Amino acid sequence: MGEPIAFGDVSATLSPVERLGRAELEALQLRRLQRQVERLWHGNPFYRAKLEAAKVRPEEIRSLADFNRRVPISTKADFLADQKDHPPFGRRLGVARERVTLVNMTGGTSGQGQEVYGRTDHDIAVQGYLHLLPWFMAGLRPGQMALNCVPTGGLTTGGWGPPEGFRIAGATAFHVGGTLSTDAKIDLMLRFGEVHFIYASTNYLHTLSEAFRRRGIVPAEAFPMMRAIHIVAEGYPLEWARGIEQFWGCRLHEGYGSTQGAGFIASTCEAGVVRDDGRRGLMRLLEWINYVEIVDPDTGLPVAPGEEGEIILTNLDIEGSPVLRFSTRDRARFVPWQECGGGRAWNCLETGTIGRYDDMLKIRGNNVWPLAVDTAVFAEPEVAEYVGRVFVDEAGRTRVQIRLALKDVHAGMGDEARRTLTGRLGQRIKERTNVQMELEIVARRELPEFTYKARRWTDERKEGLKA
Amino acid sequence: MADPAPPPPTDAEERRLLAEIAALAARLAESGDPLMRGQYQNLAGRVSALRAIKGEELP
Repeated sequence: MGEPIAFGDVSATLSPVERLGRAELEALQLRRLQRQVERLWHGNPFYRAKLEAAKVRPEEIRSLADFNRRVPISTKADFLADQKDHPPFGRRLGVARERVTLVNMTGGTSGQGQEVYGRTDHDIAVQGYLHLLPWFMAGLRPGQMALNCVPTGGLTTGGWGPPEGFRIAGATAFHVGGTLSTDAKIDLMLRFGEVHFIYASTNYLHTLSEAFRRRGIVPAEAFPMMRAIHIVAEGYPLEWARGIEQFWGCRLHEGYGSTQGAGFIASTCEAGVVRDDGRRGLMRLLEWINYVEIVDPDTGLPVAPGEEGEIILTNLDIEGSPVLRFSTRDRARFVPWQECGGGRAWNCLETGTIGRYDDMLKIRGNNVWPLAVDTAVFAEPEVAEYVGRVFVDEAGRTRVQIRLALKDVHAGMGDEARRTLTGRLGQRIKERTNVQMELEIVARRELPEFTYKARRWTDERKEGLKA
Repeated sequence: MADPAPPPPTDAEERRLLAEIAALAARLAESGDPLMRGQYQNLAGRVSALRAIKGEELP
């Protein structure tokens, strides 16, 4: 991995909640859980019905273990059914409709339907904080210039939380996501000359970096004041993260969040996404705002340290459309607080590896995670983008086709070098997925440009999207 | 010679001040002026979130 890169010190005094020891933090979580369950029992008919069906009353939640064991899971399907029966917000809104000052909806990319969330003024302020805190931990400070490359506005939490977060951070933010082309963004950065912080999807940071390379500009030289880049939404290989840190001359940070979490649920601390010893970094769970369990999706039991499991989410301090033990279908590796250091007693998730259980493709009996292919493909520095397709051919065989595009600076790569690249990549993908895939290099213009979350895979088979 | 600047508030003092502002904001949010009421409600929501962020339950 080479020597660690030396970055500026971004450490800050920890707030009182951040200084809590583990026992004190868990006591605070329990008090907030009890308060939230009590509030929902009296004011949220959706959760009242769920708790009654499970034969659990608020006063019976005397420990976190009681909560984990006795309160039932909620699912997206539960929420959609509730919305259908009690449109438009469902009975889980839990506050008077007149108190709702922001409506957020999930993206609908699952194909099942969009969840609706009604947020109060209190919730909007919490949403802003759940964006500010990760960026503060990454090094953003009042008065700094920031570039927000994630599209703003609309119906998603990702469109509203970041502008609020930057505003309360006291930062001078440019909300350029979805409104300016990549080249226009670079022109804007050069025009203002000073950028301390960038927020972008993993995929878009890749696109932006590619555009800088194409124009022959090295960001580390053009923007030596850059403090941090914070990414969201997708996994990545460690090699890519190290390359980004060197190219930009600053630490790379990552957050994990969702509409259900009302913003970021976890984020890296000062150390960023790569540890000094070269291992993947850690995202700290912001545990006094959201209570997070990592469980085996088959048994519902907590996973052991170092294991992967499903994130089960509970809002501790959200009033409108709160979630209680929500099954996120997000898959993450759990790292307990004792291994994290840095003065905070917060449990962690591994960086760069969060995936979706529902994204899994069952191919010839193998569980194939798109993230595994992403990390194999983007470990090759010549590759700009790829798409994957699973289909059944005329002979009835299941086949997987990967179409790759090279970065512009490598577009002139010769045939022999291309064969070597596809051969090496095909072998690496086979090692990581146990599936032989057919690789082809195509022109960059033949593949889409993803401005936020990348949707690289299509499954054209009649069945088999899920295990 | 000017008086020296007062020391920054302690965490406990910040929490106490926020509790006081919350009570005042709640009162303002009952305003009969519809032009102001929404803004006061926004203020009250902001303060209640700040209390949670600051750890209102802590000593």
